[in-house]
Amino acid sequence: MDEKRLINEINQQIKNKVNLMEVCGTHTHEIKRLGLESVLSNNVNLISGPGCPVCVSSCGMIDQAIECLKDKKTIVTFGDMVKVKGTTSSLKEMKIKGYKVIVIYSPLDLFNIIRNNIDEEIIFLGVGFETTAPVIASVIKQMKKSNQKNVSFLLDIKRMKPILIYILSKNHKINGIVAPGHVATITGSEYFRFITEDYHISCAICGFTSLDILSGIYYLSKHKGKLQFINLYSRAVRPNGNPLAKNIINEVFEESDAYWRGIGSIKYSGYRLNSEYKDYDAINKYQLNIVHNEIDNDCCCDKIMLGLKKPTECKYFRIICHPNNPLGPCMVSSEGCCLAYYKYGRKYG
Amino acid sequence: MDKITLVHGEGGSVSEELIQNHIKKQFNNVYLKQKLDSALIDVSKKIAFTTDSYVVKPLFFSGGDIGRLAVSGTVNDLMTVFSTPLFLSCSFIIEEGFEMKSFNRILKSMKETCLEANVEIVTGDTKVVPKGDADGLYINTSGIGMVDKNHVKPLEEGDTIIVSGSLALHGTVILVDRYQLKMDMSITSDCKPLNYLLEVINKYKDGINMMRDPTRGGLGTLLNEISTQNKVTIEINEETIPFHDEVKAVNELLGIDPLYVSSEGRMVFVVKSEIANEMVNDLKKLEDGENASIIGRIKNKNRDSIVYMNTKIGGKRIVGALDDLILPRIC
Repeated sequence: MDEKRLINEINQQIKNKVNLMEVCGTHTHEIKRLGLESVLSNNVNLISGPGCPVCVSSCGMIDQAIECLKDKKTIVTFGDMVKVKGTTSSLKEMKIKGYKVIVIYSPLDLFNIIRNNIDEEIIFLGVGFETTAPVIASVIKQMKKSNQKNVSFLLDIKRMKPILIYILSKNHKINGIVAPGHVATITGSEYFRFITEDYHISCAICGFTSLDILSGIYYLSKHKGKLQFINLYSRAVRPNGNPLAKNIINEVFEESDAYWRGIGSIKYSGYRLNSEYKDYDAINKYQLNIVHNEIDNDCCCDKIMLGLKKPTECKYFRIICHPNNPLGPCMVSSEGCCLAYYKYGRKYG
Repeated sequence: MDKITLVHGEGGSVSEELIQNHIKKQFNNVYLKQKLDSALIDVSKKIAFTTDSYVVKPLFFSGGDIGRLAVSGTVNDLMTVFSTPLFLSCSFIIEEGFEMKSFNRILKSMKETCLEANVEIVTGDTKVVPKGDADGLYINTSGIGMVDKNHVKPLEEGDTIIVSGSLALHGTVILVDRYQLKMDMSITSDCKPLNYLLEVINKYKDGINMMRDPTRGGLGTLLNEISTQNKVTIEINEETIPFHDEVKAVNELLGIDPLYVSSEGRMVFVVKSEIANEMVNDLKKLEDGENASIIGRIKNKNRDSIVYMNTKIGGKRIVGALDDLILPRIC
């Protein structure tokens, strides 16, 4: 079936409102890029969950990275992170002021940077979910193996399951979850089965093409009322995931509490370096004190991520909160829900 | 000397040697032979006059180099106002220690591109700055073109938008280098002077309302500029915008929308709808023009100044102006 036929089928079969949450930022981005909402029935309500690690990164992490820069250290990080605001500034603003911020595409680039800057203290500021965790873990492992002394890691790695439990334990109106194929590639599809078994909500694990996403929406809306759990991304996702990746995560990290921008601290919702790797933990190495401030407590990103509010219902949307001054997580990265509304949400034609 | 040093910029005999044996050796013409501080040119018509600075990194890339870019970019800007490019100026700002071999390679490339574009470099300047004060080499070129008649006309509802070939090749080649992606690619930069389009432009000039080149900021930024400046709504169709598969793949990998990635050898035409099909067919016959395509139209006039896209699945979405640096997303 092609996309247009699937859209017709979805629109014909859906008679009542169905609220579907996609948790992955890549799904959100693709949905907006395709203009999916403009062709799907108004009964399909797509809610963007907290699935972009950049968006939910803690202000405190950025604040500490900025303190490290002032202390003459070099921060290496991913592109999107330089735009994210801490309490007062961002890495981009610090870079303009002349502090040393290096943007990389892959954590593996760290090896070259360390070799070329042997006299500098280098801190890698890394964020991600289970998808990114194995690559970062393997880099840290190799750093330890080669006894690198001038590098440490300031990490804000999140786990998908605790945030989903947080959302589903609250008052919500979600009828189905489009689960993230990237995370499931690592964790396995079984990792998401609790959604259906414990919280009685249907779940489809989906890939990232237009057909993948539409198939998920089709499946979840077709079976509204009947509990379903399905892996629609079986070409990449196995029931138990990738054992090598899971092993390296367990070897280097341990579960820890994590702070979610706009939401707060959630028990065991992140990973930190375990005791064997504590010399590579920047927090430990430099005795950093992470204070989890929020830029504004009235920001309603948490309600937006729960599907209880639309971005346009937020009093700050477009007025104070915009891409160059994001208050909450949803306006931060290109995959945030508020930014998508900001960019694509106007009328056309 | 195998490296350029500060003394090359001091104006003495070493400077003279650099100018005579390297720069003028490539660019020699009657105007440079005048040996005056300014070139004297007879002009009896309306002229087009433009300038641009080139700071591309890397200096040498697949399909071109900073020299080819510096000639093409300015020539192409002259062409967008329906002028025939004739004369360029050329200023170099060179970092101390720059390899003479690389400099000669850039000069040669500029000479070849000038021949291709049928323009002459008639005046110039060279400055050398201490190591660390510049990054290798920067070039500024200004250009003069002759205007027969001002052909830029108001846009009308129903006008058709055409692109002269596959888009975003230049920016993608640079991105691959910038992010040190180790991949085997067949694509090269599209960087080239657009004179080869003149034949088609002259044939259809009465029906062409506007020409613009989608350089920095790509097609997306250009269409937003056209929309805002002319108070028109622009509709484009995703499936007809020509992107090479490798361009799509690299940009997807980096999380970048190729709509905002630059081309350096392409033209966007807004033309009367009745000539559109015939003109595209003629563009397709040109070398490297096989992907010329009708990509959209002027939907409304004097309503919303917006650009929107009909997506491949039949959806609609806004194509907004770029509001930040292009950075790769990670998730």
